[in-house]
Amino acid sequence: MRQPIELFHHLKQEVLLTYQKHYPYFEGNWKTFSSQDIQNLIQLIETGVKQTVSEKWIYTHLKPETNEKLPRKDMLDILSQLVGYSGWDEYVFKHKAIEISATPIAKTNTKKRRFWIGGAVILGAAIVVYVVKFSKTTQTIEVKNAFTNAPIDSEEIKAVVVENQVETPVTIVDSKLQLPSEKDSATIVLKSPYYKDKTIVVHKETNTPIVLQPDDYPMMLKGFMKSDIKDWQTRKEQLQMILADELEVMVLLKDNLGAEYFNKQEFSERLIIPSKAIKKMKVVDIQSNKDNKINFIRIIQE
Amino acid sequence: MLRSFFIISTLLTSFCLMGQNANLPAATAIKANFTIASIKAYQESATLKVEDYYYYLNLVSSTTTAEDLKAEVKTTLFSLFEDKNAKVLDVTTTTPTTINLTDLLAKIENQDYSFTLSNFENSIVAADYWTTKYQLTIHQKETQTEQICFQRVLFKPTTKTFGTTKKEIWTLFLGEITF
Repeated sequence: MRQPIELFHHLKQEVLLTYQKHYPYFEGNWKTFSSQDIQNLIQLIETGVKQTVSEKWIYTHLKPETNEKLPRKDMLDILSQLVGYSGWDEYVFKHKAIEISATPIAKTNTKKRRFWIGGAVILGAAIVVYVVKFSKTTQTIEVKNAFTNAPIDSEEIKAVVVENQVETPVTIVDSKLQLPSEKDSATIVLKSPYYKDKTIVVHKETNTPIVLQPDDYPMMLKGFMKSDIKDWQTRKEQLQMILADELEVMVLLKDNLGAEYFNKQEFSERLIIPSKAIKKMKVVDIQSNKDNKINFIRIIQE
Repeated sequence: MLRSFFIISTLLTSFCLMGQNANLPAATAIKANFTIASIKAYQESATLKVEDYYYYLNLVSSTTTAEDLKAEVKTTLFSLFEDKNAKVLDVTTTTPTTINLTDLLAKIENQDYSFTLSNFENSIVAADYWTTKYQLTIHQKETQTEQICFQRVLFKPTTKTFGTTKKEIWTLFLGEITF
């Protein structure tokens, strides 16, 4: 029998699906649910259920991947109504009913179940063998922010092993470089739009983290791209300071099928009043001029 | 001989010029410059601009938006359009009518309108534009109205300034709305 907290997780997924029906361009999950998405959801609840949910409540109860406590019943009622039930009680009743009706069918499929269990055991064993083998031949090194000492998001770094002028990309998992440990040492070049480039020679037994120096202006830009409308005046002044007059912003469209270009004024306008389009942008490259001002930004539109 | 050559070449040149006047030159025709897949990518990007347009309208009409911020929002909103007097949907009326964009902004201020958009579809591509169809829901206080809109999206080369450099760039602009 499902626990109420499990049913709440299920309900959260249904809320996301309902949200996607109204905003078909949202393809993420609760983790990637932006402040704009939160505003849209609040509005959706206001119009669909005629109830109000605060931004803070969504951050506390819906954004986290795991929830330790069940939210208040009246809030569960609102979410259940949003996904098409009269309230939480009906939601729980219907989902328990689905489980109960599913049980007898499961009993009649014993042979099938054995087959699947057998398959799962074999697959599990294969994974264990692979992991053991992989861990023997792979050296992992964490990459951290030199100022905060926090691990750097894997998506923000690119690393290559350089050997005889040939660059081989390095896989990064959970902020850790996955290096083949066959060689005694390897020259690694790390690049990131938000950190200063670094070239480092890593020895076979090294496991000390690599620290990267944050690049101030790109870091500020990163913050601006994630911000909401608050402090727009400060943002406007700071953008004037960090962006070069000759700034060229290239926004690569889906699957690299085209590109849009923005100049300093156009790009600043979109950051001062952060729009839906900005929330779908991922910076992949930032270049600066001799005055350290940003003069080129390459972005992928997700 | 020389005379007949002159007459033939004059006639040929005239036909060529007449042909070019009939259509946009190939250099500025969308289909002549982009593949179907590429046009689709630009069309998807343009829908984000339509969503941004209604988000900015929402900010302009909100009673909680400060006056200086509203001025900033209007500048950004106008930059989405090729013409700041483009005819757009008058969201304040119950029967569908069009209004100049500038007039609409004045009309909706402090009226607390908000909008939701769904069901985007794009038409076939004309020489330098296509039409995006979408369902618009207009919310104000307790009332809610729905309207199917057809918005023109222009896509053409324009000259952009990057510091001291000027470049010819293919640019997306929002245009008039019909229903």
